[in-house]
Amino acid sequence: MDKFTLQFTLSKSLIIKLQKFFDKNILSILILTLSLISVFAFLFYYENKLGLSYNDARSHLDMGRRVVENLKPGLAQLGSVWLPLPHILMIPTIWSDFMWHSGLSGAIQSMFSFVATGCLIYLFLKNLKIGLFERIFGVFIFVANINVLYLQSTAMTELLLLATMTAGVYFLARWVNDDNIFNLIKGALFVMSSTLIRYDGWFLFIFASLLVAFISIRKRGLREAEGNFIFYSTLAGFGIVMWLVWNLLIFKDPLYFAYGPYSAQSQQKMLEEAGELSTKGDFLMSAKAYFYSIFYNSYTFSAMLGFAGAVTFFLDKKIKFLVRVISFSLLAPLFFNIIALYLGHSVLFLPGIIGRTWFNIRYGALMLPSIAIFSAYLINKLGVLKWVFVGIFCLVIFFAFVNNDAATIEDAVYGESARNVSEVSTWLQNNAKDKEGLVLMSVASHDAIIFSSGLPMKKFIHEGTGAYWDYAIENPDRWATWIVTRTHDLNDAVFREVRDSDGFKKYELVDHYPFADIYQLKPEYRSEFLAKPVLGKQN
Amino acid sequence: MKWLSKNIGIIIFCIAILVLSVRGLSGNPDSTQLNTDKWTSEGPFELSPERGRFALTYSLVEDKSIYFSKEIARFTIPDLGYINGKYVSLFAPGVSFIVVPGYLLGKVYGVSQVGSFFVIIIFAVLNALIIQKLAKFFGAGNLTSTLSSLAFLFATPSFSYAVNLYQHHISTFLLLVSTFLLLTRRGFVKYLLIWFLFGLSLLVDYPNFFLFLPIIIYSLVEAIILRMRSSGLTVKVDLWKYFGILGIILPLVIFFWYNKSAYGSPLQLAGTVQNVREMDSKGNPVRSITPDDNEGDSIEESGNTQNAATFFKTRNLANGLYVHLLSPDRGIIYYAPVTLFGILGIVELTKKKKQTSLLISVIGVNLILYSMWGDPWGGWGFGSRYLVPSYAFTAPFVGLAISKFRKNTMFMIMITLTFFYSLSVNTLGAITTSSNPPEVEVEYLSSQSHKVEKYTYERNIDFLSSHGSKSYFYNEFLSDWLSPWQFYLVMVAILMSLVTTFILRMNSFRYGSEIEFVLKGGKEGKNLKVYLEIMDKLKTLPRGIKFW
Repeated sequence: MDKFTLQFTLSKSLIIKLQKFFDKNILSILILTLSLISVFAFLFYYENKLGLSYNDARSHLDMGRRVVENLKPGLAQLGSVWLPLPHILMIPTIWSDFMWHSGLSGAIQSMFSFVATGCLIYLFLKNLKIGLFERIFGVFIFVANINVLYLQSTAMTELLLLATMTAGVYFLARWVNDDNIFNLIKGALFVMSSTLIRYDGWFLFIFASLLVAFISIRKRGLREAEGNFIFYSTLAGFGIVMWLVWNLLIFKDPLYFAYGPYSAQSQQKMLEEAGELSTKGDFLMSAKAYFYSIFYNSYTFSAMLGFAGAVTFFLDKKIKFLVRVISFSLLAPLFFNIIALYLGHSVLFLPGIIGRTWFNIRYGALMLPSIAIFSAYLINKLGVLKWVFVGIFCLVIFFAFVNNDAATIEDAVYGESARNVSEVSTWLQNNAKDKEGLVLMSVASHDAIIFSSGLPMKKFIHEGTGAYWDYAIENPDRWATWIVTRTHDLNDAVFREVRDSDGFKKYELVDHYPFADIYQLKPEYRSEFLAKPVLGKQN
Repeated sequence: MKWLSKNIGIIIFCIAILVLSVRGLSGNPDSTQLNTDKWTSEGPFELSPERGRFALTYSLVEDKSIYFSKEIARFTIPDLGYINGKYVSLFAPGVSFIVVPGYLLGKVYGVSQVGSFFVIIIFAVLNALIIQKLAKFFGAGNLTSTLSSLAFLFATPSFSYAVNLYQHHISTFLLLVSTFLLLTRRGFVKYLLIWFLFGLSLLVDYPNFFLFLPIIIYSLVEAIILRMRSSGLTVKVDLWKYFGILGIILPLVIFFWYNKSAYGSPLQLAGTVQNVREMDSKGNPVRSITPDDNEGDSIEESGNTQNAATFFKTRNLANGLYVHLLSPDRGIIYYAPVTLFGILGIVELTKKKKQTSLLISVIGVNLILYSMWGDPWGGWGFGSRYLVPSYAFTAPFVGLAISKFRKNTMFMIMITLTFFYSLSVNTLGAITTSSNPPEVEVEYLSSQSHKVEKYTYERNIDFLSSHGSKSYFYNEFLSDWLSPWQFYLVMVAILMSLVTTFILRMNSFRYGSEIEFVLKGGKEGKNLKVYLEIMDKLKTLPRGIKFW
């Protein structure tokens, strides 16, 4: 039998060299690996034409595009409801038609965020003195997830939020460890960034500020805590203040984003009236809905590992109490989403649990970095049993990939988050692209059509085009060759405004689709209308 | 032989109880008789898994064919396959082949069906014996390791599936033997056997591929030895251990041969062929009839082909775990709570023996895999039948927990009562019916039957009262003497008495009666076990002996 035995010795010096090499370069290796995965995933979904399936992804891209190309371009196009950072980050690239229509202008920030979040998970675990294998396993939990790979390939905002939130908590944890004020500043800056991406960041800001105050009191007493709290919250809350000021300046109401006609609140109000906001006022249902969304995004097993890991972590007296306290921020998305569902500020549909289709299932993905961190922590504690759990995790992931299990893609393709506008956009492409004249339509209702039509943004008169919009809804026949509406739907601004105008009678219905109707100015009235933009620069 | 003589009593006892409970009827039914209610809904073939497997056995023996005649095909519905104009089984063929000797022997005595079912009993008893050995390997005493076996065999739904024609006990046997070999034996033959059993397991049930993964991975890793020495890290790879893979060749050849013969391709699996849910009066296939379907559509039009990998979906996991662990219709907490005490044994032992992780891996893979299964309930059934391997791999830890906490009166009272409860529930399942619907079907069933349909073991209680027992032995020999309820109570009383005797005997000696000393000795590091009957003997031991 000895003939069939292979034996070799790795010298101590070689082992030490390898160890040093990994210690020095592991982050670079990680960045390179994650970047390759990120690019591959983007190309995969780009080739499959899934990258732009989310209605919101197309709207985000349009929003960025309108800043640089529009009948009335400018920063005011950043709007009031969606927070501005993702669209600001698009500005350097969105002018390119390729970057706009491929979705890359929005996806590229998700891709960077994907790589950054992977690295932050690694660093967070390193900060907790977790072993190398477990650190890499933590990153693997996050990366080996089709939902994450898909979201990082789209112009959605989740990955950017994850990166900034995780970075914020990571630097705060470092600050707790080393008392270095620069880490507190970095933490504050990242939390501030997250407050400019999604409103989840606002909750993190409040949550983290309170924890900073608590930690400061424990460390230095009330007086210094006051200083730390003010310093931190001023910095981290700067984005929120700026957003309120922005709303005040542009829309004359600092809370326009919250109570305006396009706010989430007014959308939720419609759902409530339709009896589809079943989580409102029902805490258990809210918790159930959000936990299921976490399960569907994480393939359940890692979520269970993560929750078990979180409990073990918070009870582990070997970890500094204050590090445990600040790490509580990792659970902020959990609390935020359950509270938002309970208060009716958010909506989540999961077939078989709430609603008949998918909607916003991706919210569960916001817990994935936390799950990865806590799971890796638990694995580190399990000793010899860790191989059991790593093995089972791999088995679950195998089936997830074999079955292409991605609730986020299903939501994007079949759920409420999807909107198949190809018929309307193809009509516009075929009939309006090379002809003179503008299209009147509401971006609040039909942004995805604008994107999918492939027509330049300047071809459209919408709510953000200032005087064009004002004039066109009064006398559409003078300004627009085509009108796209949701007929008989008063929530559609164009239909609401033009339905009773005399000009609208000069249009004929040329096509009718589930999401929109297309009207065209009758030929006999064409001599009177303005075929090109004439208003010049508007203030 | 010494071991056999030591355990002959318990072996006979287990066989006797299982024989008393085995489902069946007298006679050697032909294909026409098999289609009657006497043999199906009212008899031993109440559900399609038993019918599908027995159908192939019958076909092999009586028709000398792996294809079903029209009568046998009708008997097999709804788990009937159809390919190239022939009816085939939708189940892996292993069980049907393995029970052929039982069928033939039973046929000689006019009980071909009981003979077939008896083969499963043999595997169930073998499983109990291996569990006993495994419990001892991990440090349980004689009595506690036997209690482990009894817990598995009679206090879990394994009991129901030991007296019936299901694959679970054979799969469990293959897993247990492989694990036992891996942990206790050395040499090349061990690896050869493990790979052979792995291949065999695929013939029995395809998901065994995944259940065997921990064992296979463990055996592969075992070949790599890392040693840190002053010179550096020495890596030794015993490549000869990898040649054990040759053991899989024979079963794989059989596997491919069967698939080629039955389904036309070596890699076509049984569950992936078209499924016939109904046949017309001429014996031609008709696709399943649902309100939305057009009656009379041919099977070709249904296009019902499936990919084997898509049977397991991660999205089912949360619900699957609930069903297996907590649900009133299948959950362990209701059907086999005694196994939950195994967690204490696991916690205790994991700190001491790294081999524990192998057993936990099998349990974990079993639980997670079947929680991802589209039908975690296992169709109509009694308890969670998919978890039979988990009951087996948890059982040694139950014994270890008893060993560890037997001084704790509260623990002993709790485990004894839970043991009794588990015995009562599972005896009920074994001697009555496995035809329990899952909770999700009950609403529809109630609307059809216009009565409250039960879905827990309460259904078995009702069955015992209204229909009696399906036990072959009872119906043949005892029904004139005992009512079904009396039969049930006698069975439970016997089992409880045995468990009580073991528990009392265990505590009849003073503390330390089974204390295990491990004396480090010998160059090979082999441990010497010394059992002491009374604590006083401790005083006579030389000083300096270390305990662990």
